Amino acid sequence: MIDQALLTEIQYAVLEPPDGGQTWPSEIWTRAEVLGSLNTHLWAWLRDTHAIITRTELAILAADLGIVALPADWLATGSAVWRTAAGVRTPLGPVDRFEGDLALPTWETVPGTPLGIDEFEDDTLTLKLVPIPDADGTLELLYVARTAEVFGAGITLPVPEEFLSGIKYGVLGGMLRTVGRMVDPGRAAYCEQRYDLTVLLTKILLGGWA
Amino acid sequence: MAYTAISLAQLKVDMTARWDEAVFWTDEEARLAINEGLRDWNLLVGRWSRRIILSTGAGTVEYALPSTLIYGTRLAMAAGLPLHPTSILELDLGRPTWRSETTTSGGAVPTIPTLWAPISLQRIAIWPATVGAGVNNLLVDGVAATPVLVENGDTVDLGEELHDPLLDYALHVAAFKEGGARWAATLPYFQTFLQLAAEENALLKASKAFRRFAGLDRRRDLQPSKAPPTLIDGIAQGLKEGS
Repeated sequence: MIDQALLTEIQYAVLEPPDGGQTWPSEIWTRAEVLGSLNTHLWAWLRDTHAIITRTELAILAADLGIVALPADWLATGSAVWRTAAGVRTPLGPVDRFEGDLALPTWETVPGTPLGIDEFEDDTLTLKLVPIPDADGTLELLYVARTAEVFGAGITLPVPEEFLSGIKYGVLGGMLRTVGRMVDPGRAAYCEQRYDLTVLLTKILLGGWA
Repeated sequence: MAYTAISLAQLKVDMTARWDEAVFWTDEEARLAINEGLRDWNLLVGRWSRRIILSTGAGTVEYALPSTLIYGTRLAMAAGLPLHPTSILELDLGRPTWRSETTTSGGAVPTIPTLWAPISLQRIAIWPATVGAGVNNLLVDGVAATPVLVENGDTVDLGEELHDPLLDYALHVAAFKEGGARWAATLPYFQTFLQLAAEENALLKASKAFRRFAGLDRRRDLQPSKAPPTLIDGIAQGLKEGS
């Protein structure tokens, strides 16, 4: 589905004249506001569900002391694997520094085969390998990538159509909470639940088989 | 009940027939609401499915599915044996070396792929990887994209038992813009839609969170909470005993 088609559905739902989201004559919402909310919900759904994963391989030098620069479009890590030059792979689990300090007190000073990744205690868009690697290697990274921003220009949305009802209601939920003539907490709450339901369904689809 | 190919025009007529007064939606709104019902139904139960054939790469464990599949539901080798579903977490925890293993690794590693795990909707992994490249040797069953009805003559295959809940749900979608009592009156249609989906898809029924969405979690009714008796309770009891 293209972005304009979804914006038209949103316009019908809030009694705006349908024109692919180009104009919002009631002036309760601006076009930029609606597009911003649409992008926010698309990215939030991707980040929350890991429904669409991108794969990359990052060459890591031992001299970098385990600090890895993440791709600029990184939203969340799906899974990470350390691969040595000889091709031996080690899955890396998420750890924080507290866990690293307790399990392997020398993890910052004594190199070894990385066993975990610490994502949230360094600069943004960086992660740290625990322990720091003892040799150059490759990080096989599966991650959720931030999709290109939607501008209402007739671009195909980066999410399968089946999940777009949830995105639509997520946007509507925010719109109906906007203080103004159309404020409607009841319908807004319904919309927020519809978004949550889509997140839940996605997680069931991805996790329900094992 | 029988599966029938029903046209968009007929669905629109049937939707109008479900409303007693002058309709409050346009032809295009009806089309969009019906399409929304179809895509939500496909998300809930995976109604439209298809099979694709992949070729395995030498030592490759991860495979991207084509965009014609929304997600995979079952894998089998073309030779006939199915792969059992698992998860990446289980593979990582249970067999950390799985990514490097192939069908000739020996030891406890099977000689054909036996497990598969979803990585994301359109990316899967198999274990063990085939040692050499295979041609059209991996069958993937999955859920296909929902048909989109555009012209009045467009048809969709639907079981007759689904016509009513689908059109009720479309009515609920169309009534959203109205808000108030008119929309609230259609809320049970949405809940019925979810309950029917739970009947078809056991994964949904197994989810406590989904059961709550669908109004299927009735524990509260079976075990109503009881507040301490109040003075008013006492008065009511007294009146009963006096009568």
